[in-house]
Order: sequence, then C-alpha cells, then structure tokens
Amino acid sequence: MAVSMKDIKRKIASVQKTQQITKAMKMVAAAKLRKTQEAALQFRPYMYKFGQIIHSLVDSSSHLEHPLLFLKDVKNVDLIVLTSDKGLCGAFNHNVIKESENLIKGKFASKNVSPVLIGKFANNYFKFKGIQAKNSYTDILKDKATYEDASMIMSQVIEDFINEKSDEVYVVYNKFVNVLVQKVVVKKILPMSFEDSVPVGNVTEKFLFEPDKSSVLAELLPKYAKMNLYESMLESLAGEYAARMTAMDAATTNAGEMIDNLTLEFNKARQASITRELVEITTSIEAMK
Amino acid sequence: MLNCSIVTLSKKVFEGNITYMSAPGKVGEFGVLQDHENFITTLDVGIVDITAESGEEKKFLVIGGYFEVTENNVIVIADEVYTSEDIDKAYAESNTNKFKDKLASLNFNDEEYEKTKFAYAKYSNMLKLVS
Repeated sequence: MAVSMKDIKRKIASVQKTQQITKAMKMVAAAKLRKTQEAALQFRPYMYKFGQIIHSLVDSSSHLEHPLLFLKDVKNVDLIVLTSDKGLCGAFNHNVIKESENLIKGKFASKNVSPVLIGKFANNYFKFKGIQAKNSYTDILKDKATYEDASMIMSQVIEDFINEKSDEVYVVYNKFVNVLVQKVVVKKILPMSFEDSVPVGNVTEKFLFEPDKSSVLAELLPKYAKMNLYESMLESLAGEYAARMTAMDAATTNAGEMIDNLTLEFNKARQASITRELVEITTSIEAMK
Repeated sequence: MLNCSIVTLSKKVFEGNITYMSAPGKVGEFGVLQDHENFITTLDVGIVDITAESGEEKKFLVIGGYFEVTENNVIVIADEVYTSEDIDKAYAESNTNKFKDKLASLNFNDEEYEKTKFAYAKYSNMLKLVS
C-alpha cells in the first residue's frame, strides 16, 4: 500500500504541473485574443463599406470590363487554406482541413484544385496526403496579421487568375463569431460576384467615374481581393486564440478534476493503511491477553 | 442632407449626417452636396472637408482613399485617416522639410521619386491640417 500511495502522490504532482502550464497558456491566449479580436472587429466596418462600394461597382459593370470580373468555364480552382502555425487549439485546424477535404472530394471533384496553404498545419497535412501545393506560407500569422502579407499572397493569386491559370479562387478559414464559436467559412474571392452579399439599395443606374471607369476598376478590384484575404486572416487569427483559450481552459478544468480524483484515491489509500495498522495492533493486543 | 461615413482599416472615423463635403480626387478637388449624381472615384492624398448637419466643420487628412456617393450616401474608405488631434506639429514640420529637400535633390526618373513625393504630400498636408 505504501508504494501505491507514493505513486499517487507523484501522479498528483505531475498533473498539477500540467495544470499550471495549461493555465499559463490560457492566460497568454487570452491576452493575445484581446488584441486580435479588436483588430478583427475594427476591420469589419471598413470591409463592409468597401463591400458596398464594390457591390455597386460590380452591379453596374459587365463581366468583361476587368479581368477580375471574368466568369470563366471552371476547370482550375485555387483553394486558399488558412490554418495556424501552432497547435493546442482544439478542433480549430482540423475543422478547416476537413472542410477543404470535403470541397476537394465533393464540390470540386471534377476540377483541378491547387491549394494555396497558409500555416504549418495545412502544410503538414497536405504534404502527408501527398497533395502538391501551389504555394505555401508559414510563420506569417503570429501575433498579428498584416496587410502586407495578405497583399503578397494575393498578388500571386491574382496574377494566376489573370493569366488564366485559375478560374476561381476560394478561401477556407475560421470566422471568429465569438470566443466560444468559430465557424468554418468558404468564401469565394475571385471572380468577384455578388449573389449573397452586403445588401445595397437598388443600384441599377450607372455611375459617374473619375478619372474613368477602367482605372477605378483597376485600382479598386485588386485591392478588394487583397482586403478580402486580409479580413480572413484577421478573423482566423482571432479565432485561433479564442480556440486555444477555450481548449486550455477545458484542459485546466480537466486537470483539476483529475487532481480531485487522485486526491480522493490517495486519501482512501492512506485511510486503508491506517485501518490496517490499527487492526494489526488490536489483534496483537488481543493475542497477548 | 447626406449620410456620410469615413472608415479606415482600424476604425470608423466619422459617421453622421452632413450637408457638404469636399474631397481631393485624383484629377482634382470636388465638392458634394445633396442629390449629387452617383459617383465613384479614387482619392489623392489630401484633406477631406465636411460640414456636419449642425453646421460644425471637420477636416480629415485622407491617405490612400476611395470615395463613393450613392443616393445621398457618402462612403469614404482609406488606408489612413488623421484628424488634427492625431498630429504632432513639430514632427510633421520636420518631416515636411526633410522630404521637401529630398524631393528637390531627386530626379524625376529616380526610383524613390514617387515614394518621396507621396511622403512629402502626406506630411505637408498634415501641416496644413494643424495650422
């Protein structure tokens, strides 16, 4: 019995250490979450207004006026998969990868899909699966998402789209709904079209453009595409920290439960050994009478 | 009356009803009053001037912006927006001079010419906003 008590004690100490670590990680995630969440939420009004402008612009343009508006016969699809670089954030990455997998096997089964991977998780997974990625980026989503990174990644994608190497571009990412909920979203970035988007009033009449329509389109459309990816990056990053915080919170609670159970077991073992000793003493006294 | 919102990447700078707005278009400054024709343009670095419904005037320095007006809704989105409170006059002044001198030393074809011109426009407009 004495050995088992020692064992339990050791187990308790080890779980306690784990608990300390998960607790610290939760704190760190919470601090980072605050910043990234703020960035993501503050960006929403900009994106919303930009969306309105683009929407009215697209509504009053034909599909032939700018390469980014071309609706093509879809053969090649670029799929941007946004994951994190670090783990320990629950099903966060798994959900995105599962969704991409579903898309590749389902909706895009007859198409030639080239993944553009962001984050170590997507990279490792697709490498493991033996699927060749078109481009892969790691270590760009750390403490904050930058527009420069989004712009750099998107420039390449836009170039391929214009050169007809791809016919449609989608991004799969976790949208930050609230701290407890991250929703996997598949967003179509190119070609730009609006079926289910920001509602704007009736914009059937034509616009006045300055300097002229083609230069306004040429400036706004690529920027919007980049902003679109930037938005996904911000949302994904906030989601990552939220997921990690929740996961670490759950881990801390579980560790607490484990400690409680182990302590109970320890006490039982101790009580048993005391009882046995007492029985031994009383029986020996009885024997001496 | 126009409904106006000015937003940047990180925040909503202004939202409210205005009676007049002037903004620096790429091909020249323009003004917008009620019932303006639907209009989209890109903005140059410069100062956006609005007159709020209450008659109060506000000025913003806008960098990398786009402008749209549809049915009396004005949207200005920009990479950066500054108000006079955001600007340190001494800092703007020293930078204006720095880039002015640099610009003078550069040739029109130089690689850095556009960048320097842009920086000069930014800081000189900052100075304009505070003075």
